[in-house]
Amino acid sequence: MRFALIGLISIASTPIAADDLSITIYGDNRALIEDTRTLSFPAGRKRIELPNVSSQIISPTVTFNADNIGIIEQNFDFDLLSPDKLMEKAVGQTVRIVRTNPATGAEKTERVKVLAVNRGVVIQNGQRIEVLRDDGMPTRVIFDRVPPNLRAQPTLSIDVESSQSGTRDATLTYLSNGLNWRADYVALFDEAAGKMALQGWSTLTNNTDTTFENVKTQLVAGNITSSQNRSNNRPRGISSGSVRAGGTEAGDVERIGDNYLYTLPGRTTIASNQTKQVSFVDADNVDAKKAYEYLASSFQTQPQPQNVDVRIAFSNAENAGLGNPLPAGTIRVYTRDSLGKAQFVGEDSIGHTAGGSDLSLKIGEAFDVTSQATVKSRTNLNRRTTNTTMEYRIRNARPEAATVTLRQFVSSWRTDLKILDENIEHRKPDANSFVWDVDVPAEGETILQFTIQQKRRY
Amino acid sequence: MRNFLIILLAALPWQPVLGAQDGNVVSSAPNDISVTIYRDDLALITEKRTIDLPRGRSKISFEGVSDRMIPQTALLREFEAVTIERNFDFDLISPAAFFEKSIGEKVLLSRTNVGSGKIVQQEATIVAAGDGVIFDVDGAFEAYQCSGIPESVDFYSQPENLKALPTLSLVVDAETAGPQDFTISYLASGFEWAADYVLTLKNETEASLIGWLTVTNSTATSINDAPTSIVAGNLQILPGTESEEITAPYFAARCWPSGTTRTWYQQRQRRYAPGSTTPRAVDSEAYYKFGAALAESDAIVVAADQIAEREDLGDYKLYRTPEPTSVSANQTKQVLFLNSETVDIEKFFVFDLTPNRYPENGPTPATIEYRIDNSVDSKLAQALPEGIFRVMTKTPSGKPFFLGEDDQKDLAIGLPVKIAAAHAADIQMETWLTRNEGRGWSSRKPNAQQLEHRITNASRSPAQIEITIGKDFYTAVKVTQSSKRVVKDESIPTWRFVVPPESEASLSYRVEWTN
Repeated sequence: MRFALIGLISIASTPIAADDLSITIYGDNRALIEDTRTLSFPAGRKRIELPNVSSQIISPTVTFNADNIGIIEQNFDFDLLSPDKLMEKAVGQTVRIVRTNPATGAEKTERVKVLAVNRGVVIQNGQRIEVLRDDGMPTRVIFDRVPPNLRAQPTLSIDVESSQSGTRDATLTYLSNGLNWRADYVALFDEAAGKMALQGWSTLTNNTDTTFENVKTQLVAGNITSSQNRSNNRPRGISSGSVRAGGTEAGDVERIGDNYLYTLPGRTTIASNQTKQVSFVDADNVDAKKAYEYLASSFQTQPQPQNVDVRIAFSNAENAGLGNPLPAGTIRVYTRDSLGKAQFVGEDSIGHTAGGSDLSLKIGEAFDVTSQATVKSRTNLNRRTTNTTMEYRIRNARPEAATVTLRQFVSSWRTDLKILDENIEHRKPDANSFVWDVDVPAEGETILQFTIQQKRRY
Repeated sequence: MRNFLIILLAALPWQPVLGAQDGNVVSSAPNDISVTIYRDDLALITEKRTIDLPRGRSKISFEGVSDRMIPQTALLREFEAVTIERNFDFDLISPAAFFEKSIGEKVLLSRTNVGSGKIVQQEATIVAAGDGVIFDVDGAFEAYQCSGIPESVDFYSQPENLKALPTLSLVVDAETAGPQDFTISYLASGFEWAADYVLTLKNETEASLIGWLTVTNSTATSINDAPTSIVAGNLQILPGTESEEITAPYFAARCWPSGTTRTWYQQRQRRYAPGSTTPRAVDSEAYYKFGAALAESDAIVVAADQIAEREDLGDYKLYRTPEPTSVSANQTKQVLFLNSETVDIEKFFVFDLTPNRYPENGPTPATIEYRIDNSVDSKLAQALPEGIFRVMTKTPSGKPFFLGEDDQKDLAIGLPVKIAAAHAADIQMETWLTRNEGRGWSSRKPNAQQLEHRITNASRSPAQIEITIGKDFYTAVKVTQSSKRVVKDESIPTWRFVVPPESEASLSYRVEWTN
């Protein structure tokens, strides 16, 4: 396994050819790369050059470990070799120039000294000083050498002091940007059966210029704090509102700290500019049902009917057919049309979701089910107390009956709330909302009417 | 220089690298394809392919998928093999990529002596290619395209992983060899549809209504003979569900500063990556025009003999083109989905008032509103996807005449259609606030205002007037006194009456509301 030699490197192509490479990809565009190579260390000082590292290496995170060595310094050179830089570094030195006579084709080689490179190259040819290619004639410039600190690709170099000579394993560990993953789920929803087939894919993206060959890959689902996003209150993966009740099932997922860890089977190649998908959840028979919801955030007359939300409710509990936590990602929902073809019907995102949670995905708005609000009356009983009568006209143009869950948001901040009158009985799930389950007949409508009293405490 | 680069690219030896390894299968085209188009720049493409799989592990590359595919949405079904992984590679072949991926490789460098015409060829190693190319020619270093001598490069092999087009591939493990049917579906950007309605008035109470679906394909891939569906309704689509712009970087033969004594202050900026080049083919001009004069542009194809069929897809409406159709790259296509010979209409001259925001400086024109009863028992009774309604009439000589247009959102059966097409110069209203009884914000008593209106009809036909108050107001409005009868309409105080030709009417009332 571990016999390749990496010592003095001639400039080589991009794929990383470590002896053992493993990558742990976090969902925040970062990855931890562990690169083990067998190197030969002479006794004493040596500079080890490691050109084959991720092109988006975060160089301050590099650690290099091997037995019996001490690190003197680490350098990360990103002064890239280019014609421009080559000419700049040749100032004060001699180069060869080859001029071609455009009439005869005769070539003449001269040795000249580069005097200056400032928006043009000034050279000294014997006693004469001239501007390179001032005559427009074809002129080749030949350099004798490439300066040692100019490189074809960013290169990590480490000066080590070895107390013993010999060949041994060295491990290079660093964080890199440009590697990311997220979950993409496909849910085939069968409304009539009340079932859903759920398939989860982890989608890896490699936007670095580096190809990682033959790597052990692990994906971490968790909310790692990053110094870059600490100011951002809501880290990635925190629920987007699709979880309705938290779960208490552990499932059989590997954990490290408080993160879920997914290990891809075998070894794989993560090519540069590639998106790779590997399946990690596959459940055929998950209980799921459709629900209509409408959130009214204020007391306001609506001149136009508003389409209500269509949601799909399911649980990732074991007895509902799943039994595993779901890492953050997008769930795309499909349903079959009259010809049996799967058609896309909308998508929602989920945060990292613990096992046994109740989820509700908003997939879109119902074409045929609408809600239209009217403020019927609003009266002030005294300076602190207001009575409001609201009417919600809920229409259903579908050929079957529907139940619409209407949630009226009303702030209880310094206010006592009381329903004085209602034609359907309400539920009170939290301090700031009242909820009614409104049954609407097929091709019909139901009017929900209620009067609410808001009494400000001071 | 640009021309020269093209020649350079053409000179590259295009040897196929694929096929060298066992178990590589290329599926060049689908047998069968269907497409479902959503409103906002999205389509679901479903393809059937037959692929001859070898036994064991193999890599299948799918050619001919949409260039605007959203790779994470790809779905593969109905085959008997274990999927190991699937990949979407977008490292594209380009002159820049060819050089960058060939660092450390040997190439053949050719120089043409412009004086003698002699071509000198030398073997060289590419030392750097990120920001201009440097060769190692027998231990001496030279830059590429800096000498003014015609130079070109022949590569001996194609770098691995570079593709001509973004490619979807699949690594599978099959137990038995043989041909298998694959169904692939994926979402793609670059497709759109819109609904457009033409309401042609026959008389004051009747009109015909037709509806067109306009499908636009702004991708580079044509879809031929495909059953095409359109989904109406508001799907939730998250911001990440769109295809990424994949552009190869330009090859830049950068050199050292090339200023000479002739270069007079000439600042040139060279760019690596070009901006967005994807054409957005939605031609709003064409959209606008087609209502009156259909299909003036070549890019618009009208397929109007038959009507698209509708069905319910969950809580959305799905329309199917009557027969398989072709939506070519950068094309707009129109299909009829609604053709109602006679619908009953009502025409109203409407004034919508809001307390505290009365128009008090002289007369204001009425909004002309055409209303269609789209109830279950009406002649129409159709789901109407969001779109633009254009109202047409005929001139006395029989020519079509455009009266105005209005947007409508999705309208289910049972919801009234109200097309506010234009303003009427002949029907006007003057407003006077005669008494303001406002009592301050936190008062227990309601605010109240008294108003007077004069409605004038300068036309030769009677005008059906509708006045509402409080439609857009934040709270409930109550009318306490009125000179004309108040008709309640959805709990918003409403008056309806007719003003005879060349005459006027007046209305006075008192409104109150509570803050």
